[in-house]
Amino acid sequence: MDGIAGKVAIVTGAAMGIGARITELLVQSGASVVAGDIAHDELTMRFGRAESVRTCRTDVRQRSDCEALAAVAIDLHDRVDIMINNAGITIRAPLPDTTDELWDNVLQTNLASAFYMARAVVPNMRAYGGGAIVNIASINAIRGNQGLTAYGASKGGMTAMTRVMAMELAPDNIRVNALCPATVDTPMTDQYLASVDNAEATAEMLVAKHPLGRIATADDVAWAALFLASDRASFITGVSLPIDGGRHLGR
Amino acid sequence: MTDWGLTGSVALVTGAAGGIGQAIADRLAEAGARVYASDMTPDGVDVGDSGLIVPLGLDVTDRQAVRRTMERIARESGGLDVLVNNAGLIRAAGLFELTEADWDVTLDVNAKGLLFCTQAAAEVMRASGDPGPAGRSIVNIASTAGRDGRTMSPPYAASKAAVINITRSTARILAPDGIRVNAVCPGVVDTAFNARLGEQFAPAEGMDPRAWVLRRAEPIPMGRLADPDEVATVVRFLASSYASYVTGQSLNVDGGLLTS
Repeated sequence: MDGIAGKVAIVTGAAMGIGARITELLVQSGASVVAGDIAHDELTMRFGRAESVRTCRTDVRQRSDCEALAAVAIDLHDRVDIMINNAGITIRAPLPDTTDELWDNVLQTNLASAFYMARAVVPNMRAYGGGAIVNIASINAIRGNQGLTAYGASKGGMTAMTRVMAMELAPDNIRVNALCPATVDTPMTDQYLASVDNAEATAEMLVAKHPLGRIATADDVAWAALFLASDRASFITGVSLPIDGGRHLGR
Repeated sequence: MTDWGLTGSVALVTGAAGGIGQAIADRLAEAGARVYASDMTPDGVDVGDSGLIVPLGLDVTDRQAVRRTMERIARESGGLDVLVNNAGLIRAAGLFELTEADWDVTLDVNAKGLLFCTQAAAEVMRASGDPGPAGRSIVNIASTAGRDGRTMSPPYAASKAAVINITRSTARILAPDGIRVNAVCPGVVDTAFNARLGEQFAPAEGMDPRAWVLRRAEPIPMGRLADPDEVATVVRFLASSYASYVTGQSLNVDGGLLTS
């Protein structure tokens, strides 16, 4: 994609699924990427030999790990142009079974991480005259779904934070946007399907929810993330764009 | 060049003699699409040097002419892949000055014309062969005024709200055919369209028209107006293979105006 070449990007949760695809497409489009994931073995297996990718073991729940990830990028490249907050987990539980530990784990991974990373990179972006932050939220920021109290709260928080940061950082030419994917064909969705009794029927039901007649691929989401991060989206800030095959139309 | 999946695609851009429409035609041609660029008269369209832009005259409120244009495109180019409904106008008049004719012409061009261009284009698209990598899609130019009503013209606000909901309803109807339908909502764009508003309203405030236009950047968090090209690149994104799973959306291109 044009408007990406020569930029420095940080991607969290880069070992698998959407994060891995975003990393690959950034590299393919001419960016240098500093990629973090708690699953460091998978991350290095995927990107260890890629010349323009530096991999880091990053537990995004830890502020210190997030700050270290930003520091690696700045040490290596002086600047950070693009911050992709992609790291996330889904843990399903009915409300009574949503423990404090589950809540903390989901909120730290999905929401606090994006806050830690943004706070760590913004001074650098400011100093270099601008940047773009893309938060990978979820359709659950807009719609409700059973068993996802913590997840929904984390993603709703992410889109609210996106709007606030967009306002605060617009004078510095730092754009902040979010994507709201619906169901995506990733290991995370595979795990979910493996956990239900009737995987085949559930998969069919998932497809039926999307007017375009399929669930999303990681590419569908990754390209949209690249576009929002690129210079071609230079006047877009504060939006939360559904990548949902029209699912929001279905209600 | 990067691959938008639009090489060899056939596109129609209405209102292509204006700032945003011309920029859209240019960006689609840059991506390798053959672009029919229509306006009330074809003279105002800059065809550039790509050889890919074909100017034509079309009044989008003339249903028969719209149908004939779609048929001509299908005949000449074998089908239609992208429609950009950009033609639009504003009759700036306060609530108490507003005439019925102001309402009629605004809704005729901005909403009715857009819907019937969509109808005729979708018929041609459904009858076209396999599309290129970008598939087929329609992109409508709405406005932030269609969401928040901030404009000098109530009919304009109504017409753009109509565009946002026509986008949703036609996205739903055309999804089974693989035709995506999306819109962009520009905020204030630095175009002749807005310069004319400046000429209309600045004198009453004792202002220079250009200063009047630039003052409209004050509530915009990014602190400036949009360049037409910044809208055009978003339209091209929505029409491209990069937006393969996006449909029914109206995407703000407003420098954060509606977020504040």
